[in-house]
Amino acid sequence: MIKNWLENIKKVKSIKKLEETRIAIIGKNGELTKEFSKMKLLPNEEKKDVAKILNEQKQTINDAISKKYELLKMLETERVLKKQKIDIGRYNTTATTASLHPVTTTMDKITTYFANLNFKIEMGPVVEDEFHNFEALNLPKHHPARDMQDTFYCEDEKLLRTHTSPVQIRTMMTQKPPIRMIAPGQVFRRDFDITHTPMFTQVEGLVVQQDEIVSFANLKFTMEKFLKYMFGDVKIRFRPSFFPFTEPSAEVDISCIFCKSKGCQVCSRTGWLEVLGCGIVDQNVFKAVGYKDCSGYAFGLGVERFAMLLHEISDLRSLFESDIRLLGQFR
Amino acid sequence: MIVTKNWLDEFVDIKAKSDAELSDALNSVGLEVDNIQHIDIPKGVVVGFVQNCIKHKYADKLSVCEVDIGDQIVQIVCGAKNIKKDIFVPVATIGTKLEDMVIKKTTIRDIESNGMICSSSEIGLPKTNDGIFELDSSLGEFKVGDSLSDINAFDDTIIDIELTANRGDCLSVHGVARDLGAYFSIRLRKCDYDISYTTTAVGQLYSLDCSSKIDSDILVSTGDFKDFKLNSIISLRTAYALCYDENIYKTVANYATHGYGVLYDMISEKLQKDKFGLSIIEISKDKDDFDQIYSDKKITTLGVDSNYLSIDEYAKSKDVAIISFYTNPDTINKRIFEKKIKTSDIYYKSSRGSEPDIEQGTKYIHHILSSCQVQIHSGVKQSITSYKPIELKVDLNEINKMIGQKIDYNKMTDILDSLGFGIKMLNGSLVEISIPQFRHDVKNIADITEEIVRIIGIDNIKASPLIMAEGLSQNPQMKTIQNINNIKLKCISNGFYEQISYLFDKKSRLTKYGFENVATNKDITNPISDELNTFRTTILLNLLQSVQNNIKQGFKTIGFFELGDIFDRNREQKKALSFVFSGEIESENIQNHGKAKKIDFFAFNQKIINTIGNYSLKPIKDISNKLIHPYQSATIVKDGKEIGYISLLPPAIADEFDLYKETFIANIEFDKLTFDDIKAKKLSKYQIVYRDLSIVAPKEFEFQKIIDLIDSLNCIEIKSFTLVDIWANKELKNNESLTIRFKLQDNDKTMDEKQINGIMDKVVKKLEKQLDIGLR
Repeated sequence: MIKNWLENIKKVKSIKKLEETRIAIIGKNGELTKEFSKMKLLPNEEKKDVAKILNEQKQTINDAISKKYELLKMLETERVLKKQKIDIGRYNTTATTASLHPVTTTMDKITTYFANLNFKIEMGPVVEDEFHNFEALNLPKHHPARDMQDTFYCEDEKLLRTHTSPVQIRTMMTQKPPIRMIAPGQVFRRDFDITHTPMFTQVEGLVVQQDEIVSFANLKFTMEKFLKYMFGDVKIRFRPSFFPFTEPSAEVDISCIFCKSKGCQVCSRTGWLEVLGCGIVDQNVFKAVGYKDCSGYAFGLGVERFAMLLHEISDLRSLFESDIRLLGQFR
Repeated sequence: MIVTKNWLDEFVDIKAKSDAELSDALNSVGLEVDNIQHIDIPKGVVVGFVQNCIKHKYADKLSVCEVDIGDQIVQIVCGAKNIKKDIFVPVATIGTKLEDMVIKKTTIRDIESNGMICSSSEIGLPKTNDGIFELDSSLGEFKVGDSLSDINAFDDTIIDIELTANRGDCLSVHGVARDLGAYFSIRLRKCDYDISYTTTAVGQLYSLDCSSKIDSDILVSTGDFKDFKLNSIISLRTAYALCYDENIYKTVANYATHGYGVLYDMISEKLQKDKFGLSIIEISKDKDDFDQIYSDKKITTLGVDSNYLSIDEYAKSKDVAIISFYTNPDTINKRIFEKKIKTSDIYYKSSRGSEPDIEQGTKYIHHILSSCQVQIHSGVKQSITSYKPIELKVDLNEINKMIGQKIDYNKMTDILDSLGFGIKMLNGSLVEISIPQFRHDVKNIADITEEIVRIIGIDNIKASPLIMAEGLSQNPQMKTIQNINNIKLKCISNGFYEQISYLFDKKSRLTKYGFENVATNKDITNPISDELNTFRTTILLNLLQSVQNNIKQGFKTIGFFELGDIFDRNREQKKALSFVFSGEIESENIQNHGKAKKIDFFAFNQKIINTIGNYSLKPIKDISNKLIHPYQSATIVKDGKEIGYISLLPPAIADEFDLYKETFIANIEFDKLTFDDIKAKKLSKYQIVYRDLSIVAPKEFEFQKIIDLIDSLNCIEIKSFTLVDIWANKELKNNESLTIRFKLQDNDKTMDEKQINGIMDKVVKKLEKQLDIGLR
């Protein structure tokens, strides 16, 4: 009998049929259940042995049924899941979202860094006057940088700021030291070729302390840490340079990230890339804003240049052409 | 500024330094090396001596030369005009690889030619004179047959330096040598030139009248130029330094200026003569207060222009006066700025500061002219104001504080001394520094510090952090940036790429599409081009332009936004947030069977809502520009303020820009958006109920009226309502059935049927009473 039952359980192909089989064997009127009821006819001394055998058989059947149930359940789940199968290759895997402009993300990276160093962000108008853009910055009227060639002028003698330095002047004229600020923003120069656009983005920074000396070593520290944050493990080189509003001044190079200093077209085979200008604030600038006994440092950089280096974009002008072939890569 | 290693070596002993060492040194002292290159003459180019030179039998313009090239004498056909007998020439022998050819034995018009006599450019040097490049002893020792690259002048390195505007003192090889000397701690060579003067004196030829009012220092000397001939090294080096000129008088002056830094002028003696037959040179003020050289007419304005005569004009006169001069650059710059005078090449140097030591500069040019067969006459006439150096009392300890590193005082004074500064030790760290005339850019302690920093090398300064008192960096600008960034992120998640475009536009384009222009009296005076000739007063036109460019690239889904500055008529700067979306709203795929859905008003509106947050729309009252569609557009109202508009681009405009006809625009006045902290409403824990209401309204009935009416009920249980279906049939005639789905919820209890019906009844009654719209 037990062999037959097990055989039946084995043959069953659905959970419904399994339940029917279970009822047929160990249900109220099941064949095995009937065997139990027959037991009362047996003499007492036999009852114990038979009961033992029947209980063992019932256990075997129960085990077989629950095992079978697990199996059928698994097969059914698999069948349901399999019905929902898709061919993933048939589906689109490109984002339908868009992207921020690389100049914006680069700018964010820069401003976040300085904001974390407790620099305030300051902004100012793009239409400026001679005083804020030039005179207060120790650029006297006859300085070559004030040539008509470089600056956009307006009919009312205003001009488009050629750098974000006027924001520093405005900040110093309305706030007292200590100052720790950066001025991000768009600036304008009358120049249009492969490496120049009439508008570009700058970030300039300024630190001023009252009655103590901010040293060149301090400036160097901030610039080195900043450039390593931006470009990773690069070598950094300072070259003395000249800006009217700082003295001493320096230009800062990083080792070429394209050729690892071996010399390539991007670095004009020098192994170095010029990335920013900086210096100790010229006392004439403090004089112009009415500061006394102050010292400080300032720096400035072009955000497009940073974005181009970080993302290996070769053409400056492409940043202003809204070309999805370029922008789409930053999703 | 281009210098060569050999030329530098004439002033300071740097022969032993490698090119890399020189490059590092120059960069380190602030003379940025743009390019450094060793001269490379092709192998096989040798010194030849033209033993004989006769005309070619069949060609007038060709000569046939017998040229000694050391191991043999070869016949070479040469086409240069200046070929002649008894000169040394560079010969590219058979087999030599020149830039674009290999020299072979050839026959030119029936005459055999075994090599080529070369011009400077043919052997890879910059172009000097037309024709062949004659070799002479100025280039160094050589003999016939020597490889050209073994001659001293060709074993040289050319260094191109980018100079900053303040370093006029380095606009000469001598000036660069001075900086290198300081860097390497090598003293400059003493340049005592041995010049033999004639017995003629200046006074026998010229009558010089120098006004006491002039600003410049002047020194006039003279020479007999009868046999004047430029030697090869001068041609070669001026060609490298990009100051070679066909006019050899100009070239020799250029050479001397480039070498020593002093400015010169060459005046022929064919001038107005006085009663003793002397040529009159007057140096006086002109009408604009510049110093001029004058005879019967103005000859030149010192430091502003230089009017060299033609070679033929000079050749008419045996004797030529050499004017060496110096004018303070600040004086000349201020005057040029005030008078707006046109300037020539010489102003570049005079404005940045030429070498003031005109006495030594005169000796230098005499030395050079002597090597060019000019006989220098004895004596000079001069008007030199003695220079009183500016003296600066400086505490060296202050310099150390500015640098942020302790540098030995002796080291500092040594550096300043080698750069030509005078030093007087006072007591302790106090010194008196006298600034040489050639460093007019040095004015204060910061400038002195820069000199120290330059020579020590910034790379040798140890970086150290600045310790500052803690402060709060949050300010309104910081907040604005955070708000801008939040909005931008929502823009890109809704499929709008960020655009950054110029803050310029074209006047006529703005006018054409109905946008205002910045008032003429505030507009840009000197625009970069006709296309960008004014301030932009909208971003939308730049956005449409971008869509156009991307359609050309085959894109079918194009969305852009720009958050940037625009200007109004008064040129007030404002921030605008503008959007455009054109074409398909989804990608083509198997679900849509390759027919992607196009953007429509509702989908576009949804995107804008998703970026700037909930708002309502109301019909546009006045259509301010031609990009707004009169029937498919709306004003955006947010927090009770009209903040912008949204519209389908009218078909005619889409056609003009070659855009998809499904192109939508939106413009938000960014400054009107508020970013106040939102106060959360109380949450109800009771069940939400949805109830649909179908009403019949005439077709073309403005749904906004229904919205306004339901809103006016101010029923707090109505959480929201949406139009979910529109349906019409013949029975309804000119009417249509509108199904509105209401979302209802009570804050204090679960709503029962009675309450729900009560609210719906209230809505229906109001609709019937005020709008004459009833249930279906």
